Amino acid sequence: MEAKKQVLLVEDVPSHSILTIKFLNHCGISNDLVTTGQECLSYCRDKRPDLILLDIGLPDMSGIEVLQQLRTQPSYANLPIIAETAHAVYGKKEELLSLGFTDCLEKPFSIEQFTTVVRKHLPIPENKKEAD
Amino acid sequence: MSCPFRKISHPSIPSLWNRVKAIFFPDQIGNLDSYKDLFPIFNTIFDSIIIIDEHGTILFANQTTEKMFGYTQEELLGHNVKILQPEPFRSQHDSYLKNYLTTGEKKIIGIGREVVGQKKNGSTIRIDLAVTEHFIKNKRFFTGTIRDVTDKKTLEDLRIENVRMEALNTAKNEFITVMSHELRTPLHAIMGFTECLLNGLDGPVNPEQLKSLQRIDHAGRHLLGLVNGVLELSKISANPKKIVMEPCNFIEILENCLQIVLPLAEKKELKLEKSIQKSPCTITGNPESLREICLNLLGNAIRFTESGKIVVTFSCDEKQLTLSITDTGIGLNEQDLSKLFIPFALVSLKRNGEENSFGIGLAISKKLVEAHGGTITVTSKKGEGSCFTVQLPLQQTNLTHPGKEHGS
Repeated sequence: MEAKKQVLLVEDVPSHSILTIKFLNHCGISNDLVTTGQECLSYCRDKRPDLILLDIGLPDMSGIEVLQQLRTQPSYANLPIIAETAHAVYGKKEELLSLGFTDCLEKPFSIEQFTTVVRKHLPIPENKKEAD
Repeated sequence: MSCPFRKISHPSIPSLWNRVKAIFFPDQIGNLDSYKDLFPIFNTIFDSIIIIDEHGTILFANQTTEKMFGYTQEELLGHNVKILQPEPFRSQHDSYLKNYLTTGEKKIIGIGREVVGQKKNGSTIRIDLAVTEHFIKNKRFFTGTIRDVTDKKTLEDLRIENVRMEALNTAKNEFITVMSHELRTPLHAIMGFTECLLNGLDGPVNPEQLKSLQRIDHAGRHLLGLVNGVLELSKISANPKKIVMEPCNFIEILENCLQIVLPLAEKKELKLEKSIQKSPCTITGNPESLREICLNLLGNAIRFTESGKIVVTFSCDEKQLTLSITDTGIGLNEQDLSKLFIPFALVSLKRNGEENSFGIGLAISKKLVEAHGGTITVTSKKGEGSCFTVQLPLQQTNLTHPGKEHGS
């Protein structure tokens, strides 16, 4: 049995973090929450999550800056980091992917869209989800 | 040669010339004819040249003056120069001249400035005016040269207006982008938590609660559609050329859209008839945009038709394709037809007792059609139905996409 997958959620809007945690619990994925870019960076110095859900509009720095700092570290060079953004500007997703994000979730997203993206980058056994 | 402007003879008005000579150079009459050869110089000049005395009376005007202001020499000579000015300058001119003669205060003389002139027909022109004062035998004269800068100024105004409009448009698009983001943030919570409840993530809900949740979900989707629509409209308006074009199989796109809307038509027991030509039709376009146009028109036809049928006809020649969607729906009166493509324009059709708007779908479709170099037209009769026709060129003239016969 492989170790339980751990997701780090970086989100400052309380209603959004509660919602995402519900979605993650629904998928049977354990998670930690931080609300600023600095907290995210210091969390990542101590632990290494299996996937990061990173909001772009953070209060202290942009999610893009956080990503760029993480990507300079060898252990984070290939870690799945998924952007979450409410900016649905034309070409935004492409831009985020070109900057080094693994994938992008545009708010508002449904449980189905969320699950599809997270599963794609973090394989979860089917029965985990059903077990809830 | 103390007075180079003396050669005022005009081939057609020798008598006037004599009059001018009498007023202007009473002591030189008899000598001026020797300068007549110099006269054509004034008529080769594109600017108007006018000489007045200290009362403002016109003593000389060249041919350009006639053309510029629409007066003949007879109508100019001996008249006050203020006839060439619109109000309120016309009424002020006498006192301005008098003021200058007593105080020496200059407003134009020796300075030159842009002023407004008035033609005989009452229309105004914008002119650059330069005036010099000079004396001949102790008599004071003013010579003005006038250049019509109306066209130049209009162009300049248009350019300034254009820059202003562009800045305004950029600000508008930025506003819409920010607004869209601001709206999405709470919408994400509304739709997300509704979905959690609908899916039982927070425990079971009773059937009545489920219905309410479905209504919230429906309204949330509607609102998201509007937010996306406004954003999309602003995006296409800002830069229609940014739409990526590629060869697409139009019939495939259309058939695909028909499949999507078929259940909606069946639900309302509407017949969906189609007459689509068999031969393939490849268009250089944006597949997503083409899909959106088809879905919007088909969706509207079904939405606004309660009984009868929707007829879809499609044909294509070597240059363009024509898609027509005819319904037997509620139709529109002429007043509403004119507002059809304006985003959120209110129309008189009332559903559920509320004033209704067309929303934003048709406005987007029109922009998308135009971005493809095509046209969208509509004919309609209140109570009988509507027919929307889209014509699209198969090749974009301003784009060069060599090669590929068929898209993916």
